[in-house]
Amino acid sequence: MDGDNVKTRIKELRKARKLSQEELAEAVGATRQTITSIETGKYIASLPLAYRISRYFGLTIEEVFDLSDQEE
Amino acid sequence: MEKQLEQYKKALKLQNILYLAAAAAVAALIALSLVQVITPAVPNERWAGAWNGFLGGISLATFAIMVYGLSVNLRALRDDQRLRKLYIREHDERAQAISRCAGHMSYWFETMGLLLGVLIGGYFNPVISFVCLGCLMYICLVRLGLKLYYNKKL
Repeated sequence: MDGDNVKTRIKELRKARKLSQEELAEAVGATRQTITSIETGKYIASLPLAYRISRYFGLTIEEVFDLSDQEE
Repeated sequence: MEKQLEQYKKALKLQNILYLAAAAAVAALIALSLVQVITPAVPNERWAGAWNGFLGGISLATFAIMVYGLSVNLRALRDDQRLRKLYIREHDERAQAISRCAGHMSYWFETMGLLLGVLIGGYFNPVISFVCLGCLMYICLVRLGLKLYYNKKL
């Protein structure tokens, strides 16, 4: 799932909870580099990882990932 | 995650057996080479010593890699935190995506390079051309086999 651009609220949600990228990465079973790439839009998370991240913040995938560009 | 870690532990244990077997085989090869039970088949006396040293170096490096892999696995199996970190590092989806992209690109670079080798080498030495052709056919056959396998699997 790379190539397209998907905006995310991960950074905002992480900052609100005073979480580091490393801590979030550890919690969702990914590396810090993966979280960085998702936050900067270089890499699009797979469905299972997107689900784990959303669930970690207690939100739905649509609330964390902006998929409006994919609707066309 | 706990279920995956349990499965990963089993995979690491199997990997350790393979590391041990490979390390033992390479150690035996080094020992046999040291007592000169086996010697490299190099007809040229001048190159025989250098080639023997080269093979010894490669064998030692292989042995070191096996021992390093074994030590990493054993430390992870004793410490749950380390095991979790190793699991995440080895199963990270971005790292896997990078490997897929690199693998796909390297296939094209390898085949194009070898094809050039077949064509250009043919003007200088037919052996070079045949070696490149053999490697090219091997890479293409492996690729085809893997494509057929994953076509059924996925």
